[in-house]
Amino acid sequence: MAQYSFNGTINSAISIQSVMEFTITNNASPAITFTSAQYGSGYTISNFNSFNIKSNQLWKLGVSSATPNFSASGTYASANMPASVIGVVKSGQSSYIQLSSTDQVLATGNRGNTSVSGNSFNMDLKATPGYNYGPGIYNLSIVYTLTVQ
Amino acid sequence: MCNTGINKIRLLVIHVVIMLVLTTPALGQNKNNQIELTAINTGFNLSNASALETQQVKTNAFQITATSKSSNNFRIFAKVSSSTSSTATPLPASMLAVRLNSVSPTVTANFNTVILSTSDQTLQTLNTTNTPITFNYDLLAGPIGYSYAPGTYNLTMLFTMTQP
Repeated sequence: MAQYSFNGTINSAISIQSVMEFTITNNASPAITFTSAQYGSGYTISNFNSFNIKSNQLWKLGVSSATPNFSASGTYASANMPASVIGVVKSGQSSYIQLSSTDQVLATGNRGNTSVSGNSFNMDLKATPGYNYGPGIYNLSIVYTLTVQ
Repeated sequence: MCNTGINKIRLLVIHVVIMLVLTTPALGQNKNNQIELTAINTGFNLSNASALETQQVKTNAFQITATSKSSNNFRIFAKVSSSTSSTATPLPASMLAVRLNSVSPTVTANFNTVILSTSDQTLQTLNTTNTPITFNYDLLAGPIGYSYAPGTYNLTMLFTMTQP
């Protein structure tokens, strides 16, 4: 038996915007008190920060310091301790990035949520002030910037 | 006399043939059955993480008005007939689903969510009422997730009404 059939269409347009988001977790105290040996050899904090990135674009995470130098307080503190005293590296890698106020690439990754390989990772931090700067309290803000590759 | 009689018979046959030709399509498709689709709010704009991670719903996104005056049941199907995008990768049909929100006049209908595919999915199986039935449908999208690049994705939904 013949079947009568009638049809029509409806269109749906889905607009997907660029969406990039990340969270940072501090896994260790950012306050460092150096022993005498650590001024020269450096003070390393493994897995200092954890990052979880979600992006629908290929991404890169940049790192920089908010200011070229540390802010210093204390009678003998030096006003010229540079941000490069701090080095950071994606955990598992070996080449530290010495901080400056210019953005440098800490990590790159693929489109996907935090379960995609490479979109969740840790960062090690190493501070090596040396002996050129006076005793005091030094502060530096680290800036992370997530952008499209 | 004889020729005139033969001509009359020929004319009658031609008339009968013409009448049959004119009335055959009107028996089913145009006179007794009709499906009318109205898109009301079928677009989505996904601009943040929450929108990508959760299913988006457009309430009363479109309307289907079905009229069946024949004595049989009728069915309504839906599928995605086309999916294109401004990027290299179109969205799969299963990213869309439809769900009946309301129906007028009141009839026993299927209010379950139906995930679309590229083959026909049954939306409704109803008895003929002889009056138009209006179905107001919600349109659901996603969750889209992060696997698809920014861009515009167009999906065409094809609705088919059939009657045995």
